[in-house]
Amino acid sequence: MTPEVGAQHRQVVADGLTRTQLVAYAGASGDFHPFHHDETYATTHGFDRIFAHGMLTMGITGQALVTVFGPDGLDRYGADFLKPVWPGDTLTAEVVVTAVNSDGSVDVDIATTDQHGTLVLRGTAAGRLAAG
Amino acid sequence: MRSFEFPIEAGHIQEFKRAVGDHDATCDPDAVAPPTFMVAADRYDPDYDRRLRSDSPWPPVAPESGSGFHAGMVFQYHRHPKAGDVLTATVADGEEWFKQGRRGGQLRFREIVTTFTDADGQPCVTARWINVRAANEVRE
Repeated sequence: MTPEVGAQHRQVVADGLTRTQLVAYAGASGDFHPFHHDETYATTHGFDRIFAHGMLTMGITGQALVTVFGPDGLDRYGADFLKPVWPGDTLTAEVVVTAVNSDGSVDVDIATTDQHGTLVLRGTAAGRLAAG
Repeated sequence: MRSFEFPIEAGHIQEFKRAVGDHDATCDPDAVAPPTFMVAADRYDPDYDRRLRSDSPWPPVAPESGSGFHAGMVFQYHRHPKAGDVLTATVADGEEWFKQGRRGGQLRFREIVTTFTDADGQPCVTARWINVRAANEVRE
């Protein structure tokens, strides 16, 4: 990605999210809230089925930021969780440069959408772009 | 305010990377923690309630309890933690604000701020967990 306002990076970050990935994330993060792995619990509390942790969606989206900024180039990453993400969903993250700062860092907007085009996560980040 | 230790382990980073989509991540003793890895400090928080506990029933957090929902998260990186770091996590209440909801009611937003410092006491990452719930559930 070039350090120019309007430069974009688009990446499929989840191609058919699996229930197994939700369980793997529960183990890795420690967040065993039953909404994210217990179908009976989720349906008896008003949901159609289990759904992804907001932090899983943010973590999955983070793959696109690592592509853009490298593993240690980020200064800041923030996100709002707008809609549930369900098993089977395919997520695409789009990163757009909104400002180029005098120190060489850039600000970006982040939008993650599902296969229906629904915006599920919106965020911002800042940092130094990865070389190349 | 409370604090606990968070040892950054290479195998934990591998497990976390695989869970967020880097399915072939290997165990790298010099691995840099991925952007949202600090949330996994919860595994080391003795007071964390989204896990099985011997002293309380499961599940502990029911939606009807009015505990609200996780609405967003912000990470500020002073430096990126790596495998081998031993961080201290300090948890404190952050800002609180109210906003009109789309269905007419007022929503209360509340931050929980976790500051991670390294073995030299230098700041590593600041994480802000933003929780939202209906304001009428929390006002006296």
